[in-house]
Amino acid sequence: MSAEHEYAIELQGVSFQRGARSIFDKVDIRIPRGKVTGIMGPSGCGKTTLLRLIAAELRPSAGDVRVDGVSLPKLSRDELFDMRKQMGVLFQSGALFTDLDVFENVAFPLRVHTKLPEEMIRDIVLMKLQAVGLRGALDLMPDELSGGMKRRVALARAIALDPQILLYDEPFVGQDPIAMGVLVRLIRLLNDALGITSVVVSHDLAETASIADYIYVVGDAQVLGQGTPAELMESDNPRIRQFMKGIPDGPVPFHFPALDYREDLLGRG
Amino acid sequence: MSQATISERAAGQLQLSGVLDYSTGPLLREQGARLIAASSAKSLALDCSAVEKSSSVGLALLLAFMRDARKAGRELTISALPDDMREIAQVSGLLELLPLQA
Repeated sequence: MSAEHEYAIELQGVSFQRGARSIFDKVDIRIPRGKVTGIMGPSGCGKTTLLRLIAAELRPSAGDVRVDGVSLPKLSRDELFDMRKQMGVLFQSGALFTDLDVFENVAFPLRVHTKLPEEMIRDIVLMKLQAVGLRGALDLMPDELSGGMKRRVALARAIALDPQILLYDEPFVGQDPIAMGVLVRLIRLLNDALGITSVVVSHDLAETASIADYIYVVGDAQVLGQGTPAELMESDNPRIRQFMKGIPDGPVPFHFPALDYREDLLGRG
Repeated sequence: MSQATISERAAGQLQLSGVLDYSTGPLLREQGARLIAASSAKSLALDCSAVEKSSSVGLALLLAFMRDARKAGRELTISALPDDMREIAQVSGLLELLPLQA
């Protein structure tokens, strides 16, 4: 990806209709590179639709969606496939494969998209699980995990191929306060350390305000407001006026109990 | 398609260069294994200064070469780790495990 474009993602005059209903009407949104951008609004305002437009799963009725300056509606199917590899998506449901264990869930995109030998797939899976604190859970099945752990495994899977853009769909829904704190920390860490462009779609004001560099508030098929969290706190708009503090990390350890990391990767010395 | 190589520039002096990613990883893995097995040097030094760009694949390669060296009973050190590899190593908790030399 080139660094020439200041904005990793640009929506220009995007309209989207479902039947007679206008979900978006000539919306302009620009997502700065390397930052965390929040897209907020009440449930049902089309936030997930917006993510699907960015991921090129949906085509706008009018307007343009550009990723790194490349117009998505103009790409061929093959070109879109390549483009999507550079985008990781954390779905609202987590969407883990319920019949695969944690290791195989994270290994899945590596097996589908690369020809790496098994030992290197294992290294990368362990690295990604270590990053989300769940290396010790590698042989658990999804139904043995808490909601927060499921989402962290889904995040490890979303970053398996080192995407340049990470899209989060309602990452905080249904999470307890500790899990939320862990997720907030992880999203920020991955964004800052790896230079990823992050888009967080959410209706959780407190968490999104605590993490986002810039926020768009959408509703009524329009952008209702935009700015830094501090700027939005000054807003008169009743929908965006109330922000709360994020919930900090608690005494529950971040790492699930695991084998010695060195031994796990390199064998007994 | 990205370009990358691993070569032995002098006895025990290995150099990784180019773009370490999902397309170049598999071949580099094989080439590195062969070089380490064939090298007559007692200790090996892997220079990463010519790495242009790396994904997580670059770190997996380092780990694989560390395992090779250990199996062959040789010492391996790694130098000039580029920033992008260092950041990935940091996030995945690898910095303390890599035999880094200034």
